[in-house]
Amino acid sequence: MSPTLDAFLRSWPSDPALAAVLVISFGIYLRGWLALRQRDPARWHGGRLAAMGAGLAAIYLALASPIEPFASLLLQMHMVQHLLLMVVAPPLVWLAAPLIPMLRGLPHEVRTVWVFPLLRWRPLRQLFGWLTRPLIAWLSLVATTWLWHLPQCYELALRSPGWHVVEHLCFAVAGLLFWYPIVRPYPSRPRWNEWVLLPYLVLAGVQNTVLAAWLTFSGRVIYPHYAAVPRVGGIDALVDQAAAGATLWVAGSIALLLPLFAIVVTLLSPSQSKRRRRFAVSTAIAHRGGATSTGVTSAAPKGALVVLNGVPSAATVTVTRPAPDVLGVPLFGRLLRSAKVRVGMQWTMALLAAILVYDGLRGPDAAPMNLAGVVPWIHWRGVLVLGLLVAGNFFCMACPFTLSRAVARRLPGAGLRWPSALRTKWPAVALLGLFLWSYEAFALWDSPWLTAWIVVGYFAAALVVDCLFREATFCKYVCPIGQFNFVQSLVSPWEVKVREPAICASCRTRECIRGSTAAPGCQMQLDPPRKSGNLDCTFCLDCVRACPHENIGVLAVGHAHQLWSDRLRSGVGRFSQRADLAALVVVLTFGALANAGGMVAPVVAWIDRLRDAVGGMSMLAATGLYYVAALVVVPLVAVCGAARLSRALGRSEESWPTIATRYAFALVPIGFAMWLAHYTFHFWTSVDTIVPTTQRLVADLGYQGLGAPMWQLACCRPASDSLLHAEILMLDGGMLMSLYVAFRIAEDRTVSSRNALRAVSPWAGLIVALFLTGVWIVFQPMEMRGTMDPAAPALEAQAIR
Amino acid sequence: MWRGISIVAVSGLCVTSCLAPVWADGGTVRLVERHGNRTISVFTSPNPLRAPMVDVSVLVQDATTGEAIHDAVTIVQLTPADGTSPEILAAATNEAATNKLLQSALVELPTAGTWNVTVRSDARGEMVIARFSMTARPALPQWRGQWTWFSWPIVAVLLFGLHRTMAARLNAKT
Repeated sequence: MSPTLDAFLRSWPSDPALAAVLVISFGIYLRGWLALRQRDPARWHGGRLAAMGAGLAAIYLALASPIEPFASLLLQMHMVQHLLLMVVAPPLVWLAAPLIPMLRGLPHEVRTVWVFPLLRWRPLRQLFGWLTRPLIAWLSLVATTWLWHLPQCYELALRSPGWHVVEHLCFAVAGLLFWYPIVRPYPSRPRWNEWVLLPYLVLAGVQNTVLAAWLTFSGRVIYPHYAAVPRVGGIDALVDQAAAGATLWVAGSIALLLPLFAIVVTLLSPSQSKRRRRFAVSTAIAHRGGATSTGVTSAAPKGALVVLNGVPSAATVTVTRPAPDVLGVPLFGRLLRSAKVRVGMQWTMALLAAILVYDGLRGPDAAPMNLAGVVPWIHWRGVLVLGLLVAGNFFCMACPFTLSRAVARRLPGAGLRWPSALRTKWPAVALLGLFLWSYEAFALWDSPWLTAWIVVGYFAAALVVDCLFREATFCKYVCPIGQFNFVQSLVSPWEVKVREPAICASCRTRECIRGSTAAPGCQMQLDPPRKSGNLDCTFCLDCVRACPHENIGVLAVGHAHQLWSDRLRSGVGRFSQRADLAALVVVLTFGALANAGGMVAPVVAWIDRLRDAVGGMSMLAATGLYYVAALVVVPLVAVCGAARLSRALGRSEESWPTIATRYAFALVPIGFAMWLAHYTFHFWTSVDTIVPTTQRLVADLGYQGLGAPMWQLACCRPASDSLLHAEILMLDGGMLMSLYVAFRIAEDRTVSSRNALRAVSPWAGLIVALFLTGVWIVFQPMEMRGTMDPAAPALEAQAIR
Repeated sequence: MWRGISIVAVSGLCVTSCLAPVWADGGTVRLVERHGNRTISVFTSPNPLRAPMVDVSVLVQDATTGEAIHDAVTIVQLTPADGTSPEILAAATNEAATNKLLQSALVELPTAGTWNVTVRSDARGEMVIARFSMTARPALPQWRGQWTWFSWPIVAVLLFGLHRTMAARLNAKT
């Protein structure tokens, strides 16, 4: 094999975004194709699937194979790339008849709520119909081809990556428009005589020939770029240009002649003529029957997509499928349901906590070298938020602090009721604010010794509270970590829920809340049939074990569905009447920004300047001021201001505190997004720190089996662009979800769409401001806490005891 | 269960899409010179050149056959024209290049301005030296380079607005 060919075959660029888009697209198509094939295997045969796969593969080959890097060196390679985008991928994609499978493959809500209204929008349908008329489609292809082959435009695309993308998009879109009238993918109906396609293809071939001839027979290099680049494979620039022209000529001609031949055969075939006449008649009948003919819809199979007037319709019988249930997963569901497994998880976490406490108290008081300095603040927080995103509040399920409850029940004196004045979230709000402040003020992240004492204090507090008070008081009213988990799990995709409400309606024994011999009932006093959302749910699954009908599961729910509903919730009441809950949400949202902001260089510098300006203010006072501003002053001004404005603009008769309380819950997604982005950043950049700290601890205990600590891992991985992109995407998602929730709340509380828009606009402004603040934070250099420069001699010396 | 798997798969693909594409496959042609039996071509990217990150790709070929010489030992030396920064030495390797005909070096320029570049390549016993100068513009603020990542939600919001408008009209008709 020649070295040039060998190099070509090895030159695969990396384009994860393109790969992700193509794989997701194919996945959606496959899902839809599988469902449609069950009902109509003749129409949805394997050839369609193969065509879709081949079309997407052609796009990938064009843009992310060795063709792409060699396109800038060889014009013929660049031509192959363009041909793949214009004459290979588009007909394959249309042969797959992608419209119905792609719609069918989308999630039901996306399809029916978002896409169908768009597809039924007359201006859009008219635009598409106009663009795919043979004349317009033909002109699109020819104009696009000739425009981008003008030397000035071609050179621009070669010089500028941005314009290169635009060029490729133009070719792809023009190709799709051109091939649409030829392939006429289902469910399109031809509105023109098929004989039109003959001159359509012939004339396209003519222009292709002219362009190809210009390239092939030109006596000079048309594109200066290719005259300037070095020649590879011994190919002269003019020869390369001629080869490009020949490639265009041959490949383009074949691509046009094949369908021309097929169409001629079809037109001249007598059986095809009869079929076309029958189709024309049935089309006319459908038109006369009207777009809402019940005959059409009632004949359709259940859950089918009905095509009316060439436009898919969702006006069919909806199949209700049971929500996915984690407890239904073989083996995994059984393990989750088992009380012993839960206790096992709790004891495992307790053991880990004990190890952390031991190392924090006895190990080196340098955070990067101590398990208590890295595990709680880097690993545990990162895994916690990722777990909340993809699963739910499973950390409360494994919480070791609740082990004390089992001990407390055996002690005399237990059973007091938590004072009614404190049966709110206000104590937790105060504790959270205190914790966020003390984290900075006392640099808890930098002190394994203090961290260890916090863990010990947490166990002690849980034991004391659970000894004295009944009904999981510590979890419900005190634990700051629990409150964090409860609020953030409002956007988790899983929820402990009843499967069939009708079964609960006929149940008289109510073991789920009262308990049974099998298990205690819900100690958070959440009545499962009336429970909605994850607030206050510790995922202990006591209700699951206690329910005699096995009617409770861990079911999939839409992200953030619960936030805009103001229904009466068991154990919680209505969101609109819980100012304490709203305050908790606000503190956690603004706290996310304050916590992350407190670690970025500009804010740290600003705090230092403040301390200097006020004559050497202590760190305690400076951080106190910072957190008073971030958690009290700014939120009060922002939320109250938004509430007042919303009341005025929305012409509401409710008081502004009520409005503030209700809309505050719309901030949950953006707040969670900031926590997620921040903790993911530290987790990703510092995940390796657990290795040398574990090695050090094990060595200190006298066992050398893990080797000498690899301190080079104690410092951080580089914060790449990929990580930044992920953080920004998280914030994007949080903002969009918050905006949607706010809008749904506004719709729920106003009488007209116009009032809803007015009412939500101040909240939208606040959410966007929070989002932009979060984006600004992620762009700033951040302190890499819990890590160290392995060359630092002072810290290294501490390791030697 | 499949829904959960789908959610995780789509989320993973979305996270994968955040990975920055790696492109070290040439760029702007700076020079194509013949030295003895060797032809050396040097490319730089991005276009326009901006501090701090600049890619210098080198193609060393046999002048007679045109075959690329992949095992050349190539060092790229960058010296600021104003002498205010230390010089930078970087090894250009085939592994770092996307186009495996080339050898690439990704260098971090401490400052913008004019840099004198010397490329030395030991191609199977023949030393080839090429020199040129390039001007790197100041770095754009980071947010300028990433603006698409945090501005696309505007499109989503506009589409939502369009969707609600159409849904309202549809409801009004029915």
